Amino acid sequence: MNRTPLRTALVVFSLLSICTLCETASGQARPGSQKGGAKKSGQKKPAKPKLPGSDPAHRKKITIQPVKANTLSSVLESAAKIDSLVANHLRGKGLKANPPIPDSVFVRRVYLDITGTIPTAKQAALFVSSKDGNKRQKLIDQLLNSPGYASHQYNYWANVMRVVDQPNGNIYIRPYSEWLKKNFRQNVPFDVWVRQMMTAEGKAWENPATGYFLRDSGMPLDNLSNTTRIFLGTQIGCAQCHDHPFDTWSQKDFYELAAFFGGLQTRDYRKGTSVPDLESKKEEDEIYTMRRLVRINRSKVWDNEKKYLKYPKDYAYENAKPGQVVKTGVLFGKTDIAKGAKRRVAFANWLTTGNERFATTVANRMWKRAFGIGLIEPLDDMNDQTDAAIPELMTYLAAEMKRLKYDLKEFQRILFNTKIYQRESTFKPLNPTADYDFTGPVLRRMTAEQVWDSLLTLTIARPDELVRPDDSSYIASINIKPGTTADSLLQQAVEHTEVTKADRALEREYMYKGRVLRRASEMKQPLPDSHFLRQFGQSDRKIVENSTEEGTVPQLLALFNGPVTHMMLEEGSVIYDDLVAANDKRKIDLIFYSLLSRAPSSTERATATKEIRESGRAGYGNVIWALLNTREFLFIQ
Amino acid sequence: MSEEITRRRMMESAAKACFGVSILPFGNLLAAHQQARESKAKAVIYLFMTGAMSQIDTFDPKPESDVQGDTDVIQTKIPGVQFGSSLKGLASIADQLAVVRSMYTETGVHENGQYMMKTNYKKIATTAHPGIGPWMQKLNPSPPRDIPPSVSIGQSIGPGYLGANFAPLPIGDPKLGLQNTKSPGYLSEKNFRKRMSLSRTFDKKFRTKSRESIMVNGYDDIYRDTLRLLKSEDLKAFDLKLENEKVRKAYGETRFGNGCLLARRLVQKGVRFVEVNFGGWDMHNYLFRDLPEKAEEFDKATTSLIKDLASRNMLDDVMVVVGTEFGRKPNVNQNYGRDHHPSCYSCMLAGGGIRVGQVYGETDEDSANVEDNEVSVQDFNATIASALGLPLEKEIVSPDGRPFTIANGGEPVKELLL
Repeated sequence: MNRTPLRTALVVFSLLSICTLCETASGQARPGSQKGGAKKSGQKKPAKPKLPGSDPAHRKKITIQPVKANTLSSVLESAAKIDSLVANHLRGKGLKANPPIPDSVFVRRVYLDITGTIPTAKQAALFVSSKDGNKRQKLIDQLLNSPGYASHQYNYWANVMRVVDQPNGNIYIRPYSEWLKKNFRQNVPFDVWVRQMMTAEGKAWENPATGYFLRDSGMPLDNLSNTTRIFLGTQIGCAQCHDHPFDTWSQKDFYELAAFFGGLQTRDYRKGTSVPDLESKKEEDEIYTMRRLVRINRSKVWDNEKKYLKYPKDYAYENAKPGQVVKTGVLFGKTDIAKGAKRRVAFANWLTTGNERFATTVANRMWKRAFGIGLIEPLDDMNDQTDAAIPELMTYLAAEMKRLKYDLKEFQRILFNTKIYQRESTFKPLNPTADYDFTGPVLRRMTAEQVWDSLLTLTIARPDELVRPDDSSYIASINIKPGTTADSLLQQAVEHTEVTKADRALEREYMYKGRVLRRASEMKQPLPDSHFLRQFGQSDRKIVENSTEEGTVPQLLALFNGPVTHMMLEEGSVIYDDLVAANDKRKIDLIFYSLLSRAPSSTERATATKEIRESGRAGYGNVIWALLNTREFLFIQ
Repeated sequence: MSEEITRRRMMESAAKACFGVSILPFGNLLAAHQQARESKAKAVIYLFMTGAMSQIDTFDPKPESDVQGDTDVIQTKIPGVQFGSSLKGLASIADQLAVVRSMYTETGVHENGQYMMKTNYKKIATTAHPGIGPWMQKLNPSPPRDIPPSVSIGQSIGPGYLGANFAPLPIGDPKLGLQNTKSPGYLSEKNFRKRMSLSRTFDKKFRTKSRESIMVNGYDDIYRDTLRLLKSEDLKAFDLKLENEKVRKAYGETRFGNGCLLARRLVQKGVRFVEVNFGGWDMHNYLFRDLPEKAEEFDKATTSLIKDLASRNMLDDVMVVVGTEFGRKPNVNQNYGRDHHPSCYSCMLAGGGIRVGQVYGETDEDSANVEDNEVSVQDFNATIASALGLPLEKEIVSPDGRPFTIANGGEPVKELLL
């Protein structure tokens, strides 16, 4: 940590010295000429840092559950139904939908919306030039079947559910984060994985779904507030302490709902848990590690069926007494607690099947992801008076969500195939006092993850194949097996320290000049607040949906001078190598397709040509830099 | 240093004449300024304890009650006033502080509580409200400087409906300061300008299409600010390495200590609002194990900050605020922690514009409820705004036509003001 500023400075310095598309000294050299000005005879070349991914050992093929070919006609039918509902609404208001978008806008938007990154130049050009009449629906399927789908979906939910690797030093839940990604890759239905989280038991590495509760260990009431907010679009947080001032929820309602978790435990101090007594080892250097391992192993979700929630001592309403056991009760809809069924199972039943808001909320979330704004806004604060901007459409979407059995991928497939999605974005600021009428999607800035992943696309070939090294040896080193004695735990603590070191060394292999280059979904969760992703607004994961798309000075500094933007101007990067390989006449097109997924206009081409004629090799770097610093790059049209 | 301060004051009074104190009759300008100099703060360093700092274990101990748990108390410099024993430094300068023990708020949800403290408004999804820094700049614009008028250290809230022009500059890790400020060696000023001009040419079509978008246009202000800052001497203010080692040590060289030190350096350069966020107070578990270390880090940095400002003759001009989103329950829970408690909590004020050497307000014997002189979030912020000489009644109309005031109807606590 102490070395970081110095290291940063060194990294910046060393980066620039070989930044081969930026050198002003070698005016006449072109990327096309292999023996460019970068090499200076007589000078010893420093060992060249390699971009991660050049070592095949670091690459991993990710398998994705593809969409079904035989449901396409039904998808298109549903899309048409949505279009007719929107069209009716617009007609009723005397409004016209925005014009349809050209292929170049579509390809960039749909790549960003489904896979979280801009397309490569090749992908964009191939699509635009294709004469296939069904190319849009084919591209949508292709993208839904690519690893980027899971990565982008994960980033969304990680922001919503505040996913972290370690809530504190005593809880390790990275397996939970990996499990979520796996669910998106295998397209596990939404209600299934939510139910698994609500009912999971065990340690995080035995049953990763327990991460949802371990994330908020010791804060079950806050966790519950977040659960209703995230999955039911309903805020009951106020009722935690008193009757909700603006909604119908009373404090009693809150406690009755919380009573489903009256037996929930996130720490296990029971006798018989295989944790040795450490008293005899308290002089050992490793005692802190040993104690930590013990605490990590005590972090476990289980139910104490004999334990019940009681009303708090300061409970002030007449309808119950302080200290009285709380009976379970739901906010709306119904629940069927079968005799003997666990309370959490009953809650999960109610959450996922016993009410209308579950389907509505997730349908509205997915709609907002595609269109930039929900049919219901805010999407997590509904009440009985809430009306959707287009009520019939919201009803239809919720019904579709149920018909598709919470297959989020299929649901999104429908949305992306609508005509209304494939229309121009609304650029005008929205009226915050009125509902948006959905004449098209709305203009959005890229999320932090989309910016980062797009820069990665310009730098590393097939970045999806670079995933976090798996943590199986780390898990083996923390897991205390039955029968472990104080002596063997001491040995395990020593090994654990070694494993941690080895993991750190492995992580360095994914670094390029001090920075791990993997997709945002494959980075540590969360990242330190000085990281590029955080500067661009990635959430600190402390509160629900804490990400932001606002511009700031540090973002621009990172784009101007940051090493992350310079890496793509160096030899070995995707855009550099593409440029080297391209015919001189094609180079300007290639740069525009790489950054903006479109061909340059004649004026733009003339400007770029002039610049490259004047500055030579550096001219290419200047054009790339200039395009990266356009608003067109940063915004999703 | 003192020369610089004088120069700044001159600029400031000139700027006031040009920009904004139109509420004053012309003839009284100088007199008003004299008066303002004596009783009003010019800058704020706002130390925000995210996660909800426990009042009982810091500023509002209850040694007579069972609720006190394992936290000892310490006598402060004010007779009869005690703090939690981790706050040794602050106890020794209690005569320089005004502690408010009678805060209360409406919510026990972190994000809503923080939002309320920082903006004075309830968090709603249709409008983003600005924080105090952007409000200061709106109501009393500072003369254009290279350095932005407000800075947030650690994640905070943006400028809301006031727009990007009022955005606080966010700093992640204070030790790293502002990153990526060095231009690559090969990139001359001329070349940089050329790149910017190329960028503008390539962006023309999109900019025409998006000319009505506040979001897109907001970037113009940020580009302008960034370019100006890059050329400025003020950049050095962000570099803690330039600070005397002794001073760095005094602040503790912790993340929060570095934040406080950076805040002082920035205020010296004319930044008017610096927020330092200090997380980790959400102690539902093992509070008595974890709180001392956190509170000592807080105590060391905050005490050093106040003393440092005093020794540089800046304490009359700079207000130091300690805030948090709500309090913690008197009853210790089964995990040896304390849960959320919005009905009462403590905040602290010091420095410019503040009547120090006092404890304001009182809670009951368990610190469960406010007993006397209750202070709402809006009152607290109105007090800060008042100490800065900002007009509490002045309405700002947001782009969607809704009127807002800085204090949202709060009444300043006169007893806390000079």
